[in-house]
Amino acid sequence: MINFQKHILANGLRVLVHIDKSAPIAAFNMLYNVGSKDESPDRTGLAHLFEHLMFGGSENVISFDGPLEEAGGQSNAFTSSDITNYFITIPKQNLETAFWLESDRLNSLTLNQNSINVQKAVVIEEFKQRYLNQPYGDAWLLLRPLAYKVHPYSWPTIGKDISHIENAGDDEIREFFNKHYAPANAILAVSGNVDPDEIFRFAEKWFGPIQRNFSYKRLLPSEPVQIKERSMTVIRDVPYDSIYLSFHCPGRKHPDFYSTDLISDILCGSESSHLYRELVKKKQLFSELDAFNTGDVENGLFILAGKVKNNINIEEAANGLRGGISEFITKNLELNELDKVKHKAETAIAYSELKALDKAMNLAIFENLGNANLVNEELANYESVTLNDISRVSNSILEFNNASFLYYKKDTL
Amino acid sequence: MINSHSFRKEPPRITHLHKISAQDGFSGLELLNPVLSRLSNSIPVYQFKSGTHELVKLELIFKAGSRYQDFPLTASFTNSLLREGSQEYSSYEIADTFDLFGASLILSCERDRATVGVICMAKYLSSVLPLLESIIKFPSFPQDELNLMLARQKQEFHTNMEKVGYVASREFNETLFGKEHPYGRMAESEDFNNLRIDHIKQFHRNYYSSDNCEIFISSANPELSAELIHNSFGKEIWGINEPKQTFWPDIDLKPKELHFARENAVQSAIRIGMTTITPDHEDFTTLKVLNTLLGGFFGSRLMKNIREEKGLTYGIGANLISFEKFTYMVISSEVNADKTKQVIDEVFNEISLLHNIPVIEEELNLVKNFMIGGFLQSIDGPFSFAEKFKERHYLNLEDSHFLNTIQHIQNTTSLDIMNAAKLYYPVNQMIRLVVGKTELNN
Repeated sequence: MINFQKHILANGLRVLVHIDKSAPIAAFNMLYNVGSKDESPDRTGLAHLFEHLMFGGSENVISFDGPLEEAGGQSNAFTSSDITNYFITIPKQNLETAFWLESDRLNSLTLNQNSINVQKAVVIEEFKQRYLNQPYGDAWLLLRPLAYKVHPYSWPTIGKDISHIENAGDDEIREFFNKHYAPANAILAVSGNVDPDEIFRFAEKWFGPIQRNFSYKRLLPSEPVQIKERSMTVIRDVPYDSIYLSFHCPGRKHPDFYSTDLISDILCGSESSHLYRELVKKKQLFSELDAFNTGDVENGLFILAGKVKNNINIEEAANGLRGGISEFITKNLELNELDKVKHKAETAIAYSELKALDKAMNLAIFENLGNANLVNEELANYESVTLNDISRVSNSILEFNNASFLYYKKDTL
Repeated sequence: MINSHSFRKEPPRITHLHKISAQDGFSGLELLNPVLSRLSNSIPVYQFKSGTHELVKLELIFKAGSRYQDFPLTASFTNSLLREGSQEYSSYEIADTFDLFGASLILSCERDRATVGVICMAKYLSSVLPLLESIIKFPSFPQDELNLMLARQKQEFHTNMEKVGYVASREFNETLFGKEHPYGRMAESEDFNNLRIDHIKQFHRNYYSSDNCEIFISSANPELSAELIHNSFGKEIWGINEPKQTFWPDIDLKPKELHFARENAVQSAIRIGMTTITPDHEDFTTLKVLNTLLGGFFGSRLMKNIREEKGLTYGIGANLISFEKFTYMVISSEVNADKTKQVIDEVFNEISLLHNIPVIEEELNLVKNFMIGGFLQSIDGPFSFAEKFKERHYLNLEDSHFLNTIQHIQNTTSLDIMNAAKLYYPVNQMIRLVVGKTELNN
């Protein structure tokens, strides 16, 4: 349970505070409701590039990290398809410094030419390090456009291609900031041994005067229902054949999200799970096999990813995977299989409530889904899933007309 | 509009961590010192009580890391195979039962130690303890499970060997210590064909014993679990405990320059470093401050120069890695392949600046504040206290270690830093290693 108080500033900024008396530091989490789904298809990667630029200094702050480090704080950020999230941990005596820095970059980010050039280069190195210089590193670059034909989830957060980052114009970058970075599009969550009234005062002082017109209406093209199985094969310099299988599935706000999430655990969440036992241990078609759903706000993907075992043909492995899934959806699941994954969810939720930073981040993320208190309903939502739900949802998702197969074949030359 | 924001020019007042008295300034440090008790068989139990959460984390730690093994892979496979069957339970029953109680099994094995433990809701601890007991005391090490795991990990090994960063870390380690050294010998592909179940059974017999074990428990009420733990692990002596004498060959301290070719790599991995003083040395904290200044955080010299000014990498860092017997310093990065040489030159350039120009007060204070703030961050959450305690416990550092370290950081001067740079960053004694294109352009 994460108790919190909430206050909304006149400019629309939502502020949430959780008191954690035992925390040695305070956590400060600023979420902007902008992600790679808000990009234009011919200029992808901007939301993430922007995350880098936000550390380049603002009107009264030469560099973001210097004053923060001087105050004993640390910060980082991440970008997803849905959000851009900035977080700080800092000794609570110096918490106001976080307000100063975070509000200054929202009020008056500098965006100078040098910062833009350097961060483009840094992001390109990140692109290489994560997506190009790793075996299977380009999986998401391939899988997303296979699964999504019109929806912006068809590109990964880093962008479709290095050239999109290289060629992003300064004007486009500035426009992105003005369009998406506004108090009304942000959520601030603070957690630690703090006084909520003081936090609300700080928020009023530092963020209250920031007036910015926010008129962006998110109109995402909806992905047509997939009616036919898709597949794609690539030959790569990888050590083993590999299969990525995706199905469209409900998004984070859909009531069936919880069933979907539990299904991935029942299939492949542990050594006792269905497909793991069947395909990794018994039939030994794969050396590794994972299942997960992307947990995106809009309709997401349910993924099965497996490394084919060395002496096994990739078609045989794919057939084994099909067979395993078909068998699963027709089978009557036993109650204790459902109880198992519910208990796992219970532990995971308790674990996510141990650290001040995790709690602040969760409050902001759930507020962005509609209401921060949803975080406290998670456990009940998982617990209410029935065997019928599992059967109904797996029948509707794990259907091969809804599937996209990505095959990596080892370059044998 | 900007004018009305003139109040922003005045930053909030801050408390400088490098100035406040460590004794008064930081609450919660007492949680770093656990309550110690002993089971009847004399296994020490360290209890960490904090928070109001419902979880419990229980760990049994054995001095059974890879440095004790005669054959490569033995220690890690002994540890991983514990879950694959015991006298009473099959591999499936073990996985199934842990899952049934939402418990996650902790199995890990590093150079010095191996850990077996569990994180679960405190209400289920009594249900999973018999299982934990069974796999620790009476594992069956089935041959077919070993075969399966070898095949799986061999594939993982070959996948990792395609990553320049992995290859660089591996080769750096082997170069640093030498192949004959207990910390130096890294697994090779053929080791996956040669590991025998007998190696594993014998390793388990010798190292997973009550005499070689310590227990750590963290929860809101650790005392409530004491009896359960005693029943499972404390009543009698178990295991044999016949550790062999470790042979420590001399480390070859000659500087080396190595290149491992990966012609298609779009980034090169760089490792630069050497073995250095251990945490019990009086200069160690000074070295830590120096190392943080050079490459230990976002605002470090290396990050500023190579990432934030030149955009040649996504990240570069300098780290001090301590094992029980040795510590080494390493600078690591993956960089634009065409700029590899430039980055190496810049690294040595930054080191030479530290040799020759005293760091200004402002920068040094920033590093100090960052380090002390980082320490506070590292004790966020009720399971972090045991982690922090283990850090000092296994390096044989005194109870007051963390407080002393904070004070030492606070008292470090610019002159200390320059002297330490001269002593502990001798550039002509460092290993330089690159994995990437052979042709290193500028």
